[in-house]
Amino acid sequence: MSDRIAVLDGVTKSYGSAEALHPTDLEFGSGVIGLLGPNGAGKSTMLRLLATAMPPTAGRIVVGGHEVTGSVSERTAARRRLSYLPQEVGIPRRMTTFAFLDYIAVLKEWKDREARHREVIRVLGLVNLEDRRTKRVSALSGGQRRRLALAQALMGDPDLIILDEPTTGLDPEQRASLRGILSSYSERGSVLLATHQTEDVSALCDRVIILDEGRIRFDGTVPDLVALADGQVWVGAEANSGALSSWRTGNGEIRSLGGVPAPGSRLADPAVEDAYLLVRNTTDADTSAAGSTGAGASRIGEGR
Amino acid sequence: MATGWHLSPELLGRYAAGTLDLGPQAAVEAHIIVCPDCLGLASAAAPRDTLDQVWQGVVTATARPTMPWPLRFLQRLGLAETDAVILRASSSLYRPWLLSVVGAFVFGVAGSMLPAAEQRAFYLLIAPLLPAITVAAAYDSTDPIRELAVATPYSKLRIALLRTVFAVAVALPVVLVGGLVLPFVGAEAFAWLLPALTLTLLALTLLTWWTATAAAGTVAAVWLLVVVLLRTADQLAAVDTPVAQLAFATAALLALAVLTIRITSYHAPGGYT
Repeated sequence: MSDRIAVLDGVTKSYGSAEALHPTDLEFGSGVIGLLGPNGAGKSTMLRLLATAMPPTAGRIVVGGHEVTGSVSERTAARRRLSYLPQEVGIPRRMTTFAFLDYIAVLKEWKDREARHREVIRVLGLVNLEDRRTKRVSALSGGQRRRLALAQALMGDPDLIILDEPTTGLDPEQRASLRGILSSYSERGSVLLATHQTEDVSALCDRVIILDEGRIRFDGTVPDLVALADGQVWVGAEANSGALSSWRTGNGEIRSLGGVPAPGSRLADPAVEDAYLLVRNTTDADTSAAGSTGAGASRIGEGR
Repeated sequence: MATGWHLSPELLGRYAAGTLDLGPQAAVEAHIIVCPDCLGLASAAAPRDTLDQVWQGVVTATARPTMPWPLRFLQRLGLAETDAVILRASSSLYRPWLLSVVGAFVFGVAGSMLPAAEQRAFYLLIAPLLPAITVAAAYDSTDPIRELAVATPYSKLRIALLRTVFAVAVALPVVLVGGLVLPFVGAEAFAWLLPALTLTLLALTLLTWWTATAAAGTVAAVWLLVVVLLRTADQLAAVDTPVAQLAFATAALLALAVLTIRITSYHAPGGYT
């Protein structure tokens, strides 16, 4: 497996005059990569571009060694190497779960009927919907529909799995199960997931990218991200003055991020969420010592 | 039900290995149905892989949805199983079926009620439009799976053609039969075929930019204008002249060229990229 499963090279995306993604260079190797950012940060835009769901305004995208932005045959070859779960999937309500997955499997070029149906049953089992295989989509709960949409992304053996908020609507057990499935995929390919759940990132991701207003604000490992908040998280009876954020925790203490430590407060171990909030509220230029792009590089700043 | 004897280990072993002749095999199966002890022993002796395979087959067979009869019929005529799955999933195809049936009804009734002088103009207006609008209706611009489908390698052109052929297969016989049996249709009975092809290709090309409603509406407006102008000038018969038919053929080729360019540059009918 090549280290460079997917590449964005000077990629931009504009909707009219609004620039959703500023010029971006990224490389994705094997492992689970988390994409964090507020709503409208450009996460879904980046995922849709990589999934070939729309063309970039400028730049070059390569998936599995095939140039998405090249010819139709190159784009088709790239599509054979990826799986995609959009943020919203409106599955026709009259379809059964089996028929839906059967259809997507045909679109993914599973031609042999027996092998295709075995794959459908396999992924239904992965998302714990085996006993719903003959049910119509209209009879499924919201969480079950989300798991059904997820099942189609787990078909086959793609190099790149692109998931837009995969854990939305899943209960804690299902999320834990999904983490197990994704981590096993990550040993042979790249899993790129956009999420608002910082606990998913800390539990699962080898690498995290923070996007804000179409620009990369951080790119590095989870420990690197957390280290940014070292010495900035305080707990005590009162909030720090000038804190970026503060809230009362379950044990009644106030947790503050940044600011002047309140009397009697003590330093606490930072979490991904603390570092994420810090990055979001930092307007400094690049403070990272590491290189510009690629797994292992870590940076905080305004992108290009 | 209790039985007075049980299967020997040797017989069980041969049964589990699948080496018994048909007669003894049937006898063993008749026995294990009524003898829980031997049933347990036979289950334990059966190869796990074979049992899993059989169970997997049962699970798949019971979950597999049946094909609607028109698709089963088409499969007998040679339609590939994967193409049938694509058509089965195209829920928007129900709309063109309905449109064609309603269109044929309105076509016949309204045509008969018109004054004789307007009947030819009416036929010329509706006949080429019905296939074009039926094709446009086969594309639901709000296809909920589009975002998913677009990222798959399956040819979007093939999906477009499958839907088009299916829709035309429904619409064309309706208009043909109408042209042959309706009393008010005269010499123009087949003059509409090339305009129909042109308008269908135009609708498909517009579908690479617009929604199904906008594409069908535009095609209908353009054709209405042509027919009204011809009727006003009392030149309806001009449609059937070689020059006009050549012009329609040229327009059809042009639309086909634009459609091909659109499909190879990220845009296919129905908004697929």
